[in-house]
Amino acid sequence: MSKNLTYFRVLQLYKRIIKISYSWQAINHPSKTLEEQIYFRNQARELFRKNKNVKDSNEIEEHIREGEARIELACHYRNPYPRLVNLPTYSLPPNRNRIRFKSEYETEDMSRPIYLKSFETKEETLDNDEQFKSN
Amino acid sequence: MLSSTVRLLMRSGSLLRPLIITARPLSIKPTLINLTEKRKTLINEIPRRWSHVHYTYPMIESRVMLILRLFDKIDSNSLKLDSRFVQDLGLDSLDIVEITAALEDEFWTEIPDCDSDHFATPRHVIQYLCDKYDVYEHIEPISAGKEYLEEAKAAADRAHH
Repeated sequence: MSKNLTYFRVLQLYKRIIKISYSWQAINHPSKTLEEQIYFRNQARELFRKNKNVKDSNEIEEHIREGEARIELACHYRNPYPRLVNLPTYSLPPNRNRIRFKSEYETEDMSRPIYLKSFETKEETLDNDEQFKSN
Repeated sequence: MLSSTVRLLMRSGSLLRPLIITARPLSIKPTLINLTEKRKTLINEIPRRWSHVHYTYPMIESRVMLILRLFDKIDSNSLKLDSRFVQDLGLDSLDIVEITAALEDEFWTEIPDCDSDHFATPRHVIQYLCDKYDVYEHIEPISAGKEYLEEAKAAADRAHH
């Protein structure tokens, strides 16, 4: 693994998140401080490992931005969970009884904010076929 | 007991930050802020190491090994002084960052990324911390008693086998 600047930036981001989790106080729900600290560390672990194999440097930059955005939002709203977003216009929520068109996935990908970059929707079409076959 | 209450106060200092509006430069001497009658804390207080605590080689070694054993991705039975993190224990560079963060928390010190990148075995970690705190194996602290001499001997055996 070549040890260039982005490598150290990613490690620094990870360390920052862990440091924040050690001194995190849940002001909104005081009894859930430990739970939120554990959530912080587990989210960081999962998402960093999921995106470990990204090679494209632009993608890596965007993932670093995602991490920093999550940190800022968590520290500002004192809430480590990702901030909810609305569905984009002219699209419906995913439903098992309906095939979702490719354009809907594309609008959703385009309109997703940077801090939800690692959370992607799964393809629903295969599930529909399997359901029809079992029924 | 005393050190744990000090630690509590230090950690609760993080709650104070939203209340402080202006940043005070370090040249101003520390002042007392009366938040409530029960809690008075000093701002601009740098965490000190207590001078009566002797950093010795067995103490550093046992603390480091404890932290490594508490890490959930490490199998505590197969952990030895010379077991390499990446090849033998199967850890990642991200895991090494987690371990360094835990060590920083434990020893109240900062370990920069350029140094923590070179940690390959627990022995390297212990040697690094010994260098940082000027701890030498063959020098006994002033308060050394019989138990310390036994501990030191056991630690020296572990280190050189």
